Amino acid sequence: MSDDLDLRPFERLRDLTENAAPSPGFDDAIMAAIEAEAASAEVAPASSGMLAGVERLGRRFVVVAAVAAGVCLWLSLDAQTSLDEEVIGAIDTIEVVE
Amino acid sequence: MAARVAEGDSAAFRQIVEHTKVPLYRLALRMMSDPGYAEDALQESYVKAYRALRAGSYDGKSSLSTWLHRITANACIDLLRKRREISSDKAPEPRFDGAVQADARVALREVDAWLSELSPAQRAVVVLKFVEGRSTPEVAEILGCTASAVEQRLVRARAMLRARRDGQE
Repeated sequence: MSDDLDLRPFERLRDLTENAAPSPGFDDAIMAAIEAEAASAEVAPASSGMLAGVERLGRRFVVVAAVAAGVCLWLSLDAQTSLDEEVIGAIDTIEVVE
Repeated sequence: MAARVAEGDSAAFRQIVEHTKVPLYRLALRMMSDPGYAEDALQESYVKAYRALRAGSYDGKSSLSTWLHRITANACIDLLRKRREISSDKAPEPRFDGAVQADARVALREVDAWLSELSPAQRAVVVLKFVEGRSTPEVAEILGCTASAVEQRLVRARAMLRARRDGQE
């Protein structure tokens, strides 16, 4: 300590509070607050669990929908190709008959 | 012990309270200068500590004791800020409902008057350094700041305390 402040009040406070302790029943009050905290924490995860489940289902639905869209697109393209072949075949046949 | 609390063992947390309440209460009392507010701050600190342990937020980088001291110091700083916002010119009435002897209460009032013009953060540094006798690195670790930040707060606090003393003379 290089300054000229009188630190004796701090030293006196240190000495006089060296054996200070919380009031009787303090531990029980803490544990009651903790038990209340634990009880509220047990309720909260159930709600978030339901919401999390909905979110997971939603993500899966998006994936399934995307796959289904891809399949439909492939089927429609495949169907269009088959139709084109049928039409061309029919024209050739008509031309041969005539 | 921290791992057991993380798994939901409240009996383990009770053991932590029993082993740490005296030094933490002492710190809170010296910072708040009021046994009632000290217990309020300490109770809030233990609830925050419990939440953090259950959530797995305690990383073990500092000792459990240092970590709890940090939570307690910060809780006291927050409570001091709220008290400043609520009170006008005079300090709020002390609540001597804790087990603190009369001489200590006088000393608490005296230091409280002396530190009343400091910011809560400066007050924390002064208490940890001058009352608890901790080194600057220890103070920095407890408050979660750098040693130079501690020194800066001490320089400003000393200047304010000197100005107050000189104004009274």
